[in-house]
This record gives sequence, structure tokens and C-alpha cells, in this order.
Amino acid sequence: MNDFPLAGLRVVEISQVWAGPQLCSCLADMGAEVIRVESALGTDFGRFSKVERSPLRAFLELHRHPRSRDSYISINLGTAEGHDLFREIVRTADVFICNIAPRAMEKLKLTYEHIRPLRPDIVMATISAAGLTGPRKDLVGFGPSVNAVAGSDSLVGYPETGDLMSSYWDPDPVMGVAGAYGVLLAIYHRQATGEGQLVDLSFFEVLTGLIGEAMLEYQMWGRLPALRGNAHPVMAPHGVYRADGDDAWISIAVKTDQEWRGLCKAFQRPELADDPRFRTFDLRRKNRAALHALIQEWSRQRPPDEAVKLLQAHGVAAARVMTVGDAFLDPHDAYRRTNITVLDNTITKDQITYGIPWRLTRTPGALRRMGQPYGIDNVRFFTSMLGLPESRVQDMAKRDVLK
Amino acid sequence: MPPPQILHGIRVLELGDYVSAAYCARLLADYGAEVIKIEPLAGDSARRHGPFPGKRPDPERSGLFLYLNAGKKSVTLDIAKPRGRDLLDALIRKCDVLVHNYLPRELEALRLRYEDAQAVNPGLVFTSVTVFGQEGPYADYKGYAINATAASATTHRIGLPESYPLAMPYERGDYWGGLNAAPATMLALIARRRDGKGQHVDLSAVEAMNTFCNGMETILYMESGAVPSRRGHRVQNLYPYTILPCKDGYFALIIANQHHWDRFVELMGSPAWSKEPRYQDRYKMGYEYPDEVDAFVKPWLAKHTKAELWEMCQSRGIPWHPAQRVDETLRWDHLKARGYWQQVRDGSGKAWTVPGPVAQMSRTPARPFGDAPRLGRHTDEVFGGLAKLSKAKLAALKRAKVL
Repeated sequence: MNDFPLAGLRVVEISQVWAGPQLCSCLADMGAEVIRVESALGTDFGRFSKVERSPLRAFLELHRHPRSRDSYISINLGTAEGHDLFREIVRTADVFICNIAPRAMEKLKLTYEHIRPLRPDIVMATISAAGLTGPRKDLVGFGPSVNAVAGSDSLVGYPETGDLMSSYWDPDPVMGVAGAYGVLLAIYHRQATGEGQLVDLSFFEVLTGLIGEAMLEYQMWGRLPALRGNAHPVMAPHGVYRADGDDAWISIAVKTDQEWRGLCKAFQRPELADDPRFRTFDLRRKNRAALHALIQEWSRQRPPDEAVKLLQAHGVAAARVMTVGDAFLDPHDAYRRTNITVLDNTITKDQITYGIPWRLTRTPGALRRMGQPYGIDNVRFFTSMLGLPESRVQDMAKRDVLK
Repeated sequence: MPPPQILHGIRVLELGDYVSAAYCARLLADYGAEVIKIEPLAGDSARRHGPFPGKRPDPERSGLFLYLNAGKKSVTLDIAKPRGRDLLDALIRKCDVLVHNYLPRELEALRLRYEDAQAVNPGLVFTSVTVFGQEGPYADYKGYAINATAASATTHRIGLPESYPLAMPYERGDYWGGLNAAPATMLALIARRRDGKGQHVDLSAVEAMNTFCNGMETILYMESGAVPSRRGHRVQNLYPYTILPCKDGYFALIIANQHHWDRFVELMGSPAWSKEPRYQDRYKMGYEYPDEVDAFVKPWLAKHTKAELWEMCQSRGIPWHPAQRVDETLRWDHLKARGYWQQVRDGSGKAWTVPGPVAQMSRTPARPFGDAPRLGRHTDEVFGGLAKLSKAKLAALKRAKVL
């Protein structure tokens, strides 16, 4: 059995920064042939941020989300000749992922109306801040700032002061995952019926979907949800507690009476289980402040890993609050991670990297290639895939058509 | 005629208490799958979660339950009883997908490991969605959403450096698991088309977050040992990357290229400070003295409302947005015009507004969400139909508290 569920599928990609590239990596890891098209017109500003690069930016660009692509090519979409080339490629594609602003799509003649006549059964997916329709479709924005409009940012902060905190870490990856779901649905439909369609993905809509509960709190309670820090409307204890060590913390959540009794045992305080303040779910919630102090007192004397291990041994949900480094060094994380040998011109050593978190045991896919420099496959692609003579490719490169 | 639905004919069995597996199954239901939710006789714990209208607990009116389970069928079944476990097999035989959030040791105790289910139905896609996944040292660790965000290095980065770290809001860590399980399940359905065989999909929320949220930071860590840490309302980056107060709330100045910042300075009236050499290098401004720059920007922001700032920025192509409250998002004309919101009725027939599907598809739109099922509403229908139980048998099984 083939390891790659998407083998035989050809995807053309114009995408930038994070969400779109991540989506296309997911398709490429699973065996789709992905042709990443970039343009000096700035279809991915990450590639051109010369002034604004942080020290490791150039290195990171190669490794982050644009991985596993079969071809990294560059075409100047602002030239008629370049646009013709692009249209030739689209004619051979099953899927087109377009992750640029709707106005740029219009300007570069890349809308579904432009693309569909070239390949009527194509699945085209667009990723934009606000979607392709509606009064504010032309809003410009990136994932993290859209999180603010969706309402998510109004929910993260300290109840003690009311100050909002930045929590930008996940909007782009959320969009990449949700987008992949939309695209795979459309591919599934196309396999059954031969029909293509447009998948219109909006950052606002995907991110708002993660805070449905807050929307209902507002409607059902008739007032806005208050900042709650790490407290939970139902569970107690539920929070982040200081552990022994520099900026060391653990998270603990208790839902059932059984878990509560487990916590008391782990604390070697069996009498707490029947303490009239904490005996039931409702009592624990009412007395959550006392509970918090009690747990804090216990946890601050223990190294985080030791505390977590002990609590888990007693059936209590607990996890260390990890830094990126802690997570990477963690034995569980390492157990599930992929080690790959990088197949590119720039890095010659083995690279340990996060693999494919969608673990399909029978058709696992594979990380096939790390990200590559801009346009590196131009000659091979245009000669072997489009059948152009090499002299013509060189000539187009000279005339900035492949830029 | 109603539009075609992509997953019409796909039957999903959900054994998912609370959020993660339930969200995955809801995403499948949105695009036409028939989802049978198996609840214990006491009901899914989300029924006891709320929010409740007027804060009066009612298992048929819990907001979280309504949102996650709209459009599904509910059956009650005690799978810990031998008779119940046999009946589960009768349903497994008739299903395409099983999605659950049990730990490996719980599956073992229930004789519900993948191998067990596969023996009953070789074509079954068996999707596990837990915090730590089905394999690895922590596979049997309990985990709630707060533990997932802790172990995936997002919590450590949110909040003030001198205060405690903040988890992402609500049950975000669990939504991460469910959201990733949906495309992973689609890939398994696509692979099944070739040979009719199912497989085990093993999804860990922590692994998905680590992979998709931390890729760049992990490489940075490996190269330099540096990890991102809490910066309060900002993220350490080129200036500005922050949420600041304005006249009537907060405004997110997140991600700026040089031209965005230049236009913003112009918008502020190009004040004298902005021309000083100290305020030209946005790297230094962001990394070395962001508070100093904030002190110049804040008084100007304080003179304008969110709406004014939004309009002024967007009309200049500056990709910044207000931090909307959830009521503002609910009222926002753009999402209304897109037909985004869905109506879900609770057990008393009252309709509530909830966020809609993740992707707008031109040919096969998502189906209207429908109502959340009352506990056990479809028990007779499902067991009478799929397991061919007579009315007398159904009654006897109910008396024996199996159904």
C-alpha cells in the first residue's frame, strides 16, 4: 500500500508567510505534488524582507512551512509571458491554493473567475482575512490581528487588573489546519463526482469558531464574559501554579470527584477529600480561592516534572508549563518526533524537526524535502514539466520573466 | 433541491466526552456526515458545563453542548456493561468513522483498541484525539485543555513576565485536537477509497500545537538556545507588535512592514519624536525600548475610538484591527452579510446564534447546523434500525440500564 494518500494529485500554490504555506506542506507531506510559485511582485513578503530580517530569518525561511514541495519556481506574474506560463501550469493542476489579499488576486488575474475557465474541475481555495464576499472583504490583516477582531483577544488577560495580554501564537496555524480540512473535503467531493469548486476561507470565520462558548455566554447571561485568567467556569481547581525553579509552573485541572480524591492522595492529605469546603464539584468551585492557595503551597516546593509525575500517577490531569525548549527536550515529545536528513543544498547535517502530527498509521506520508530557496527548480521544472527548451528558460530568466 | 453534501452517506460514531472529539465530529456533521453520538446514561459532561440561560443548569440547554453537538443524533449506551459493549460492536459494523477521546488504558479496559474495532469492521477509520496521543511516555496521562496549552509551550509565552502565565482562552487546547482530527480523518477516508481499508488515526493536541505553532521558535532554540517568553501586551518583534488601549477599548497594532509603520507615523501627523534617529530602527524599538515608543503612541491612540482607528488604518492599507468584544463580533455587519452565523435551538426550543462552518464552499455548502439532540433522543431509532432490536428488546435493555 502506498504511504501517500494524496499521491497523484497536483497542487499549484501561491501563498505567503504561514497559513497557506503550512496548508500546502500538509498536502505535500501526504504525497500531493506541490508546485510552489513565487513572484518578485511579492507573493510572499517573507522572501523579500531584506531590511526587516531578524538574524536567523534567512535560515528559518528555508525550514519553516514551505517544505516537501516538489518544485520551487518563480514567475513574474506581472508580465504577459509570465502570466501565460502560469496559466499553462494551472491547466495541468487539480488544486490551486491562493493565499494573497483579494485585491491582489484581482490585480494579478488570479480569481476563481480567471482560473476556472483554464481548468473547469479545479479545486481552488483562497485564504484571506475576511473572505471573498461581504462589505469588508477588502480588509487587510494577518492572522494574529484578526484574532483581535474575532473577539479572542478580549478574553485573554488578568482579571486582577483587567489588562489584555497578547496571545498571538496560534491564529495562522489554526487557519492552516482548518484550510486543509476545507481543501480535503473538496478533493473528496471531486474524486467522487469530478466536480471542482471554490473554497473560500476566512480568518475571521475560522477563529470565531473557536470561541463559540463565549458568544453563547454573552447571549445566555445577557452580559459580556469577564476576564478569568486561568480559572474555569466549572472546574476547580483549574489553573497554573508556581513550581520550584526559575519561572517554573505546572497546570492542574480537576473535574471529577475521583480526580479530586487522587489529588488529595498525591498531596498525602487524604483528610482533604472529605473537607466540607471541597467535597463536591460545586463546593470546590465555590471555594476555589482557598483551593488555589492550598495547591500553590504544595506545588511551589516541588520541581515541575516531579509534581506532574506524582499527580498523573494518581489520575490527576497535570502538565508542566513548558517553554519551546522544554517541549523540544521532553521525552514524550521526542518519542513522537521525526528525525530527518535534510536533502538540500544549503544544510548538510541531519536536522531534527517536527514531523507530521496527523498520524495515519497505514498511510503516514513523509516529510520529503526541506524548504528550498526561491526559484531553485526553475530549469528542471520548465524543461521537464512544461517541455520548454533550456535556452528559452535561460532567456526568460534574463528578461526577468522568471523573477 | 437541497445542495449536495460532501459527506452524505458517511456515518460517524462519536465516543467523545466534552470538547475535542465532539468538535471533530461536529466538523464532519457540518458537511453532511451522519453523526451518532454515544453518551453515557448520565449524558456528556458538556451538558453540565453551561453557559445556561439565566445561569439555571439544564442538561438540554448547555451552551457548550449545543455548539459542539448541533446536527448530531444522541443515543445513550453503557459500554462498560457487556451487553452494552456488544451493542457498540453492532454499531461499529455499520459505521465508516469512529472518533473518540479515550486514553489507551481506557480503550484496553473497554476492549476498544483499534485492533478490536478493526476486527469488527476492517473499513473503519478509527480516529483517536487526546491531549498526548495514543503512544509515548505520556500516552496514559490525563489532560484537559489547560494541560494541552501548557505542554505545547503556548501558555508560557502569554502574560506578564513578572506574573503567572495565562493559558489560551476557553477550551482552546481541546479545539486544537478536534480541529486537527478532522483533516486527518478526511485523509484516511481518501486513502480508504483505494482499497476499502480503514486505519488508525492517532492525534495528539500537544503534538499538533508543537508542530504547527512552534516550528520557527524551535529551530531558533536549537541554534541559539533562546526561547520566547512572556512580554505582556506585546510580542518581542519589530515595533510595533502589541495591543494598546484607545479611547473606548483596545487596538491591535500587530505586524507591520516598514511602509505600514511609515503610514501610521504620517497618520499621527509625523510628530517631532518620530524624526529623531532613536526612532528610526524598528528592530531596536521593538527589542530594546518598546515602552518608550508606546509612551508616544498611547496618547494619540487615546484620542480615537476603535472604529475611527480601524477606518483610518484600513483606508491607508495598514493591517491593524480593534480588539473587538464578543458582542461586537456578533453584531458585525460583515459576518452577517456572509451568512456566517448559524441558529441552534436548545431543548426548550429557543434559538441561539453560534459561529458557522470553517469553510464556505461554492458547490457543496455546509448544511445548516440543526438542533442539538436531547439526551438519548435517537436511541430507539438507531438501535432499532442499525442493530435491529425489537421494541421489547429495547425496553428490556432500558430496564437493565444498558440503554
